[in-house]
Amino acid sequence: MTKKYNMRTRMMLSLTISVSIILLTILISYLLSPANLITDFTKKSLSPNLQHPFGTDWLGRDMFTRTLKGLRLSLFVGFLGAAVGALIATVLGIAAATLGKKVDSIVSWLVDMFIGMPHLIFIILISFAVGGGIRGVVFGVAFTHWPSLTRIIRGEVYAIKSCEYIQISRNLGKSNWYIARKHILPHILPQIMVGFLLLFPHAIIHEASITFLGFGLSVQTPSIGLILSEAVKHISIGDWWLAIFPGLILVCVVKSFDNIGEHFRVLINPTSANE
Amino acid sequence: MSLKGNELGFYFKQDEWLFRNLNIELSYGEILGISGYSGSGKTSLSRILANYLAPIEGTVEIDEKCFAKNEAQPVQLIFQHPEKAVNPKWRMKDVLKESYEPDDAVLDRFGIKKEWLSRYPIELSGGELQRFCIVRALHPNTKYIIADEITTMLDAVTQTAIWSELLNVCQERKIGLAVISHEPALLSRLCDRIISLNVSVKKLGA
Ligand SMILES: Nc1ncnc2c1ncn2[C@@H]1O[C@H](COP(=O)(O)OP(=O)(O)OP(=O)(O)O)[C@@H](O)[C@H]1O
Ligand SMILES: [Mg+2]
Repeated sequence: MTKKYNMRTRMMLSLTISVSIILLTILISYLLSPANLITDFTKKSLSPNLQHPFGTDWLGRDMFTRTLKGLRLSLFVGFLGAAVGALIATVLGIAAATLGKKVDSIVSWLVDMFIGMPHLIFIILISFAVGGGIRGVVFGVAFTHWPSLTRIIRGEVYAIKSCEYIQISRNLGKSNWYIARKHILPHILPQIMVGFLLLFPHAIIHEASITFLGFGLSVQTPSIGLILSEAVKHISIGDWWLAIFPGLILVCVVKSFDNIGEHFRVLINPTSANE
Repeated sequence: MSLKGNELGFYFKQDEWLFRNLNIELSYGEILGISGYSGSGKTSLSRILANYLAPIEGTVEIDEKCFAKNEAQPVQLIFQHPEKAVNPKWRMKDVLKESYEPDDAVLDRFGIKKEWLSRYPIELSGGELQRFCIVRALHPNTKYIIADEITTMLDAVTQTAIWSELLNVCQERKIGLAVISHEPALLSRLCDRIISLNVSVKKLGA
């Protein structure tokens, strides 16, 4: 009994921490003044101090401000990528399970083909194909990250489709659209939410890595990946703070999302719901 | 005018026929009993008659027509297990509303209390749930009802009350009712006519 109680409190605590980290990041990023980003050579390459907790870069810009604002952009891009990915998965998953054998085998074939793909290379290719920038990263991430969620949703829909209450609904004259909207979608919504949350960290990491490699966002849109890739040029001359702090914050935020997604997955899984 | 099964045949495993060449007819206002031991295919037959399952052989006709599309079927099936027949995430009033909006008189007749309407299925007993399933099946379009062992989980008193109400409604609306049960006593008490799935089904077609 106490063990279960502990487990629950621990889980709530870790959820709270994760959510606060993310909310705090976003909040602070809005509060920080853009004036901190103005070039000021008198403050060039300062190591971390009270005024500039993350130091300043070679143009005298405050790294704390840059990091948090960059992270917000990364979160935004990640959000779009994960949302588009989850949407593709939902549509394909429901279609595979409800539109007959042919559609099902086409979707399964696509899933099998895409699921083994090396993400990074394909994100770069897709990003190129749609013209780079934010759109490139969003589609690159979305088009490579739908398969596993599609598989889960397809399975769920298959299971619920044969439920008696759905067949009854059909014999009460309800259309496929009604059934999808009223019976199936509410049933798989938790799965979609969890899938989305678990996609989020991937999306952020991938955005950072392809921007880091120079295939993602441009200099006008300073995401965390861009900050890191610029930092690398200066780390060799000893400006360690340029990479360490943004990197650490990125890891924290990504881990937080992963944590939230995992917790939700445990919560909605009926067999482990009581733990 | 009647619900007719012509030369019905069905199996789950190739060539292990549950029944074959089965003819069955249910007229307006008639109460037909279908008996058979457990596993004899009663549920399968009722699912075929109510458009839930396609027969392997034979056809089903409702008043000389096939099953309608995109409107409430004139044949409604009430299931053996009510807890599977309602969406667990819906409140009971939504479950009813999916079919039609029953008036208070109907709810009263089947002993459905007002406060049950805002509950979820798990907050009701099997017998209470089954009343909702019965009311839901009484859609304005309904001309035939197939009741597949719908009162097995109820005590004798409730069972009697529910059957007498269902029989009354069916009589008033001239609904043809097929009562499926393995209790001969219940069938002989309720039904005008009884057929059995147990032996030599061929001879026993209606
Ligand atoms: N989906 C299925 N797949 C394979 N076999 C099935 C399936 N459903 C039922 N059966 C088998 O078909 C036979 C008839 O089943 P059915 O449910 O029609 O019997 P029943 O007469 O309604 O039994 P009961 O009185 O126990 O409800 C049973 O032997 C059962 O094991
Ligand atoms: Mg049965």
